[in-house]
Amino acid sequence: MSEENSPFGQREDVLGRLAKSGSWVRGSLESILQEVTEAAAHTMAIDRVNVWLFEKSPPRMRCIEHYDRISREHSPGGVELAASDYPIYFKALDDQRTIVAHDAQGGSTDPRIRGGLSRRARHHFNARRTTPLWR
Amino acid sequence: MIGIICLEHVGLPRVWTSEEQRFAGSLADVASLAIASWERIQAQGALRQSEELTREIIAHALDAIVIVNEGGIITDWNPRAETVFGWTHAEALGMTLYDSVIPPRYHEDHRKGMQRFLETGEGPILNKRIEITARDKGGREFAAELTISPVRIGDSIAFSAFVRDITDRVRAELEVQQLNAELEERVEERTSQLRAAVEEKERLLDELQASSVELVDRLFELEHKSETIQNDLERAQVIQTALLPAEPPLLDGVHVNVLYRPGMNVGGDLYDVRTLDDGSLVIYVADAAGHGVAAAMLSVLFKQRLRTCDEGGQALAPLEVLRLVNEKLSTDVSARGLFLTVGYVHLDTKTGEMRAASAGHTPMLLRRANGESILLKRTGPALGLVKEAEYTEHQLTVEPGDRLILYTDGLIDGLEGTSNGELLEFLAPALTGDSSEGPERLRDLFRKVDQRSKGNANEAGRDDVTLLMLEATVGPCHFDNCPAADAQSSSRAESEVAAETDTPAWALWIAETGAETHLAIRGPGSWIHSEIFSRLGHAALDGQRRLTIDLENCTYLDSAFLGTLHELVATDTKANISILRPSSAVLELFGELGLTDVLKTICDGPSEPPCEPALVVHEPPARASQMRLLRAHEILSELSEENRQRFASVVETLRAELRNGS
Repeated sequence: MSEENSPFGQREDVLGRLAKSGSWVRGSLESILQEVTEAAAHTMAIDRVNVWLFEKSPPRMRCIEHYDRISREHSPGGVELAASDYPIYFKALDDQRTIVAHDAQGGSTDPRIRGGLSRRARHHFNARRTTPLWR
Repeated sequence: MIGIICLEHVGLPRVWTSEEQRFAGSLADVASLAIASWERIQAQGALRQSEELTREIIAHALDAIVIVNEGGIITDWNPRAETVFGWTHAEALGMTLYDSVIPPRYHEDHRKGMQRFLETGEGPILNKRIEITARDKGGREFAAELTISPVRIGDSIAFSAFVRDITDRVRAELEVQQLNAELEERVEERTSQLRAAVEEKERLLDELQASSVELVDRLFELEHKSETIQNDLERAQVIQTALLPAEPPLLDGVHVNVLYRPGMNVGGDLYDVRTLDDGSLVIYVADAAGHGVAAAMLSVLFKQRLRTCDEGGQALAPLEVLRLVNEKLSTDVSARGLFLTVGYVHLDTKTGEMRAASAGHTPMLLRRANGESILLKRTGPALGLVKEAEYTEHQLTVEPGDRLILYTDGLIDGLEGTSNGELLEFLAPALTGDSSEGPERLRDLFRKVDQRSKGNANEAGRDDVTLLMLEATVGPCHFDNCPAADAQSSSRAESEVAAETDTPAWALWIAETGAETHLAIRGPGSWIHSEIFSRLGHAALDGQRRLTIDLENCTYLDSAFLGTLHELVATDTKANISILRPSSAVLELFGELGLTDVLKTICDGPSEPPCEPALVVHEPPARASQMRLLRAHEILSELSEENRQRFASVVETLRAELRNGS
């Protein structure tokens, strides 16, 4: 069964498996995030999954986990996006729980996407979904 | 929000289903949980490390650390607290401070303090470093330094107490205090000793000063007495010289030459040459023992008591003359050491018969014309020693050309113990040669004596010298009684008499106008006055005034004053100084010391001051006084060994002060 056609039950299993992962016991944040990004990529057939953390001084966002489903490789990323460079995007993140872009290339009219990602960045993907992490 | 999870689809546009969005949200929750869990684990680890660090610090702290809750119950107790208080950790936990470390007498105060803090949040001893008395498990109380800090944990309060045993420090502080007290006591004691020493020194100085003043007074008194005695001696010398025959008598067939030289002090030499009524000749030379007034008086007495003839006018035999005068002198003058020697000769100038007697006198010498020499020695004791003494006499006949010499012991002073041959050899030059050269031969002989005495250390004690030579030939008599000395003595006596009557004390009078300073010195100028004299003189010269120094009534100047005067004249480059009418004695001093510059300033101009003179009143200079004091003590020290020991420290002190002050 292809990943794109995974049933709802499969997603529940994935969540259950994540909840029972030994990585919690080992306390390895890197391992859990890798499991999360892999689970997201393969369950929803998504090519790339990134985890970003906010930092306050100066206001910016730093990528701490990147997974490429095609190459099946993880990397710590390390890319940073300064709030001063993408004010609309950061504003949207403050206001909404989730930003969903169904056609990132053609959806250039969406100011959240347009103000959030450069054209050079946008040509690499065509649909994007940003989900916040809460404490 | 701490971050985002970003899902990116590559390729054709994709519509995210709501299921996918929920699933993504769930994954985001999982990631959030993972991040939160990781952060908590990190924080817990840091907390554990912090707690471990705190425990290590407390465990190894050098202070005892006690944690108590608000009920006073001990909840923690570090190893150092175990050492300090003796209670183990296990024993201490659960105990109260009252049970463990606070002495009972402080329990009540502590309870009140705790109560007050719990009610008001204030505590007078909190967050301060204080010193208290603590106790250990064995009940020993000791000094401790305590710091209590309240720690609020949630709704409860705990207290951390840091306790340090400061027994050693307190003991050290007490020791320091004790040492300081002892030191202060010693300083005070030493100060008292020094104060006492200073007071003692001041007292001694006062005594010394008083003693010095007294000594100076005594010294002046002694000097005055010495001066008086010297004057008396010089007058006695004048009188004694007056006893000598001034003019030689007319003699038949013989002539006599005499040389008389008084010594430094008045002596007792006496001689006489006289003719008797029967034409015979009597000569004698006498020498009173010792020197000074007593000897002179004895000579006078001898001359007064001497009888050369009997009541009938007949010449008495020399042995009888001596017996009689001895008897009288022994009766009149009976004192130890008071005697007189005489060589007495009676010569019948017609027959040449000579009778000679000697009362303890130096041998007379008869030199025959043929060269034979005969010593005529003593024929009895000196006069005044033995009242019943008997005398014999020599009887000889003097032939023409014979020479007889009589002399006093001053002539052979220093030749004691010589043989007769040596004595004859010494006297021979006077007894040979042409008759007309007699006086000169006597002087030659005296010069030898004088030179010999100058070679001796005891120059001042040269005795009188009397030489009398009779020659049995016709010739002129010559009596050399030292007229120069006579004149000097007379002059001296006269000047001193004048000084005593006219100028008993020293004084300096000054009369000053814009053009002239007139300084008149009265009496003897000495070191005491040289300083004020110098200052006034230099002030006159500095002020371009003519300086007249009137010495008309100045009787004497000592070396210090003479030096000062010379210095003053030497600085007078414009010839502004005139010295008026110095006495002969002062003039002589100028000459003796070679003060040629001073001599050049002497003139005989009027000595009237330019205005009414005023007496100069001044204090003697301190240093000069010191020097004078030193000299006074040195002089007194030389008088006797007892004085030397008595004044040794004084002399040394004065010398040291003069050295330090120089």
